[in-house]
Amino acid sequence: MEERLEDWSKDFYERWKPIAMGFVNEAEKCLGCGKCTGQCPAAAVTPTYNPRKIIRDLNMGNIKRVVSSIELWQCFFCGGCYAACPMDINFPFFIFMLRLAAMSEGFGWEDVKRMEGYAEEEYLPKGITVTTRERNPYILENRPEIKEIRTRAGLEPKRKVTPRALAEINMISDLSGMTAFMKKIGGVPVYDCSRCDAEIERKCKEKVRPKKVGRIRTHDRYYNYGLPGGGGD
Amino acid sequence: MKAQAVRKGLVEKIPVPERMFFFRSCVASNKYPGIETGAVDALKILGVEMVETDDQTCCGGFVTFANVAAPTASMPAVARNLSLAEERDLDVCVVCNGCWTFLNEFAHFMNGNQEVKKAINMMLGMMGRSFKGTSGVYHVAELFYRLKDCLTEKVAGSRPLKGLRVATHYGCHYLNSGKYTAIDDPFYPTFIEELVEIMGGTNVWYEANRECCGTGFSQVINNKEVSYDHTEMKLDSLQAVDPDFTVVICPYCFTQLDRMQQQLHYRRGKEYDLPVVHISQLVGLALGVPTKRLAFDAHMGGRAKLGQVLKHFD
Amino acid sequence: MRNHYDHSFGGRDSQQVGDQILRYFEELFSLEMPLGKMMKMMPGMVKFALRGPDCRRDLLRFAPQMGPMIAQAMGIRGKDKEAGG
Repeated sequence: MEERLEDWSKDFYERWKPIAMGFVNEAEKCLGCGKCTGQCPAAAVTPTYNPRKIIRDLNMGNIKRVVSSIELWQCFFCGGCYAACPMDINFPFFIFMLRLAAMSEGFGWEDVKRMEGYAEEEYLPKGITVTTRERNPYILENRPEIKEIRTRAGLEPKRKVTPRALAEINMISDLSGMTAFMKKIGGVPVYDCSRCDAEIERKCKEKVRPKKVGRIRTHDRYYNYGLPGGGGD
Repeated sequence: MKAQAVRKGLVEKIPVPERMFFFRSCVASNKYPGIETGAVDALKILGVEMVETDDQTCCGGFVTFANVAAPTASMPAVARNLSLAEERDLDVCVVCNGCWTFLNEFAHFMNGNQEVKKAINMMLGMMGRSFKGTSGVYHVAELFYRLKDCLTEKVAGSRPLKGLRVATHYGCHYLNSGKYTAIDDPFYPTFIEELVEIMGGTNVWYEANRECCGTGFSQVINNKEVSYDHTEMKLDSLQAVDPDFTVVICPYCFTQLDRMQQQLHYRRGKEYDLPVVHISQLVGLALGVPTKRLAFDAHMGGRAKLGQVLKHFD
Repeated sequence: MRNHYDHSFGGRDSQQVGDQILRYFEELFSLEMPLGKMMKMMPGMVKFALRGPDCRRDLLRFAPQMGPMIAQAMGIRGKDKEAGG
């Protein structure tokens, strides 16, 4: 995987900084010390994930490699890199923004589609991003329903969110373009594990990549920073 | 306990009000309600009354970092939730590392960027609300530490956790995102251990103590195997020291460590017997909150041992 | 030597891809309220107003502040027309 040095967008990061409104800070301060990668839990279990390489690519403007990579989506979002960084670079925010950039170029939609349901089915209609429903058959058999658990603990059987609050968060979602965005990506169904069969299992494990999201043509992602089992470029 | 890196200056800055706004956690409300009842009851005994409202919604952190909601969509939602506390003139108490990080980071951003704050207040104006950025957001764990003198007084002489071996799991977001704002050092925290000792328990060290729980935020949904690998390593390390309780400070970590025990048994034949408990439940137990109130019937992991341990209390 | 991911970018080089990404972020984080953007917000506001009398009341109370915003947005539009845009 030789890199074409003449293809890099060398002023990308500098131009990005003012637009990002301070969401990302000072990647150019990176010393390349590697403390981030050394403590990274994602790097421990997915050997090609390497924050140091990603931030280097951002600084150098090797944009195509970052946004088309699958490694970009392997970050655990733990923030340990920020804690370890001697220059206080808030790396998780870079991952967050680079993922948005990758999405605008058509990468990563399989992953985002799987998460969309949480917003569409839980957050916007109910104001709570976690469902009361359980899908794991073991839990269904061995644990009372949540409304009973709550009642026994002296709470109302169901946590309530007022209709007014729902109206407000939905207006925020409409005005900020979130609703339209969600309609564009759609989501994938969440299957009931207690009714699993071979067909459902296959669909559940598959990561469906839409061919297009709105006007964006989607693409597969690549291992751009090494080989999946570990090992060099 | 040997060295301590707790930031006393920051601890002292945490207010001790009579009332605080209780920020409900999605995971706690719909999966582990004991986290909420524990926090509310324990803080009440320590002198802080919680005020709640059904107008409060999810903090929005999950849908934001899942890239389904752009910051332009979730920042107004954060401002809206915080305005609920502001209009009551209260600071906010959260029970979740994710909520703490998300609410603090976005509030901090809005406070530092007047143009953005103005634009967001324009949107909030349409619903008759406004965000000033005056309410602080505090984690229940740091509140307990702030109130440790009161806690010491209340458990004086009784040592309620006596004989219990407790392993700690701070999780990632509070200490890491709070590199300069959390009350303890990200790599060598001790404040939960200190609370455990105050309550009479014994801390047990395990090698994977500062490891992430393994959810990896969305990895548990999008790259399950990777999440299983990491959590297996964590649970193996915990099982090797066989603690009576593993105390966590975040409901998402709670869910992972509690529920993965069965998943790893089903998928990889592992055997675990590790009761997981949230700091609010643990402090609640120590202060005499009845076990019935702490919703232990929601727990999935370590049920055999949990039954034994709870006999200690009722 | 081509990189294996190049074909996903349709022949554009990093400078072009970078430009497009920057334009995307510019639009995403823009605090400006051009007329088109404002019009897109109308349905959401109407939906909110329909949710209840208290919602209507709060939205209408805010309406006076929207006047200048709309005027400014239309003023910008006017200028574009003058400039031949």
